[in-house]
Amino acid sequence: MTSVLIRLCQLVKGMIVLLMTRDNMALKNGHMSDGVYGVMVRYKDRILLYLAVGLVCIIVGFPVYWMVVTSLQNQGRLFTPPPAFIAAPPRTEGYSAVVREFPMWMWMRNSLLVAITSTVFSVLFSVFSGYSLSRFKYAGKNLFGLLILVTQMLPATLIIIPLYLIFSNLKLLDTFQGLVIANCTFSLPVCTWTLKGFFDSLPKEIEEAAVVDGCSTLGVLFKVMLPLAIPAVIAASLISFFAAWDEYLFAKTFITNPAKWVGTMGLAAFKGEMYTPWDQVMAAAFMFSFPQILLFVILQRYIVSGLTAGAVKG
Amino acid sequence: MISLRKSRLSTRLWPYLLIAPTMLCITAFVLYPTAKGIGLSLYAVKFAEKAPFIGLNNYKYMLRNPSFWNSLRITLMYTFFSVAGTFIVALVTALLVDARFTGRTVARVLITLPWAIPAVSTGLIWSWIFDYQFGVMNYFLVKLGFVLEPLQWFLDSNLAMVAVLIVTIWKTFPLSSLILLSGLQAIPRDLYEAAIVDGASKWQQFVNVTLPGLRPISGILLLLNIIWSLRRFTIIWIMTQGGPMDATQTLSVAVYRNAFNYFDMGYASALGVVGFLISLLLSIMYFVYDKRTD
Repeated sequence: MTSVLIRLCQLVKGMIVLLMTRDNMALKNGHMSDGVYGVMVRYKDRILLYLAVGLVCIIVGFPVYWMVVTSLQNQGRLFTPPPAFIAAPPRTEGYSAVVREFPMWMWMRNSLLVAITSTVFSVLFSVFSGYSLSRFKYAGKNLFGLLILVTQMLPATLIIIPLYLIFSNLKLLDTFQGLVIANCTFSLPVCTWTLKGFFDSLPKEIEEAAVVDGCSTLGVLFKVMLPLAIPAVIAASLISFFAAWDEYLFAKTFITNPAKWVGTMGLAAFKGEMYTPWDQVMAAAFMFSFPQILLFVILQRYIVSGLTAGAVKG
Repeated sequence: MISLRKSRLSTRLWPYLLIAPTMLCITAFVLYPTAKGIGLSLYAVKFAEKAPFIGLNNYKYMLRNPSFWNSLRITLMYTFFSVAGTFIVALVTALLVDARFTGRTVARVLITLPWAIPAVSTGLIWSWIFDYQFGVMNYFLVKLGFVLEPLQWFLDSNLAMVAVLIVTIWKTFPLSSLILLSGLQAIPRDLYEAAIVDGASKWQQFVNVTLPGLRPISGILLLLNIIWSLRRFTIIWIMTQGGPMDATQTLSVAVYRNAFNYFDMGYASALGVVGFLISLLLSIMYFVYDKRTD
């Protein structure tokens, strides 16, 4: 055990040294800003770098690849070792079986409904609150900002029991509305801070000009500020959409009616409650992951800028 | 004159109107429930009926309950190893994709991909990978000669914890890696040049330039990772449900089980309060430390 740990430490250290190398070589040759300093790095280091990148990409990407391959694999082949690393020929029976035997589309539709509603409400409210915290001076502002920040640090497990009792009184158990509210408890504070951070970075002169032109407060916000804040709005939307799409604890606790199950509940039931062959489970897992993967690949750069704006400034 | 006063009043009202929906929502569904949760921990609540006030009895019971100490130990262990592991993997990968090479964009997308896989799917994928009989993990380990025979990942306490940690790190490192990458890019290049002029080795540069440069962002990153790890539920629940023999039952899982499997909501709230106190304590420590270093 200890020797493995020592090996691991050495590996990490070696990798760090390797990665520091390419910066040095570039610096020594004085080509910091012309974008060609990759050429200056010694071939040996270059090859090692590619090996390291390749290895990391394979290890990190393998589980995703494995999900896809398994979902396309012949069911009998899954249970005869050794494992097959390609699906030849690929077959889609896993997908058709999971769609036929389980209300997969209904689960995903419910998830979509909950996630979109949660996103609309949390982003709309956060645009207002982020703008308020960023652009106005008023009594109580610091307190509000602090409370919204602290909310992110509360463990969901502490509020889930009282929330269950409150929802049971308000007849919100087993409803999508309840789920949307629960999701907003997480995404509202995060989105507020993301948008506040972005509004902070916009110059004040823009609005002042609009106010002189006779724009109302809402007019300034919607006609001037919001178009400029599109990247942050996209980032905030993605954060809250992902969080709601992926939410399991609240759904599991508040929803019992099978017609209102969301995707996370359906998927979780494959393990334990109902025995399902692995090709079908992986098909379902991939179908459920697909919207998130697609949004992520298309809108990647917004996530990075939005998250870092929120995390660094918040 | 009247219209001017009216407009001034509305100007002063606007910020409150704008923040009202968020504050109302947070007060009604987070702050009030939190207070109520702390209150509940003082009652012997069994499901949603009238409950007698029992003072600190839930806490007294908790302190005498070996299962609580077990959960606390497991929570601390899980938090420590998952946060440390996430940080190291994130740091190495951030350095990796900060390097300039052809195909860097593809590498960046691939390395951040796990973040985009829903936690439920993640749990299912890895449960299949760790499968005793047909799992590909055992296949690799046996093939490469690390073990002689397949490992029972979910029947052995230590192995179950290792499996949960691996999955957690796989899922959480990409976000940290992105944040560290933005920190790396903010380190001024002349610092490295100065270090080279002083004859610093690569490792010394890393220790004396890179790490200090990452310190501000690492602080908040570690705090957030610790808090997220204290509230993590889905991955653990899907993979082990807290088993085997409670070996992966962190406080979050214990709260859920006591509240919704054993219907002891008062005791579960007391456990939740402990988790809350740990988060609160760490946050206060961080902000005090942050203020001092400023």
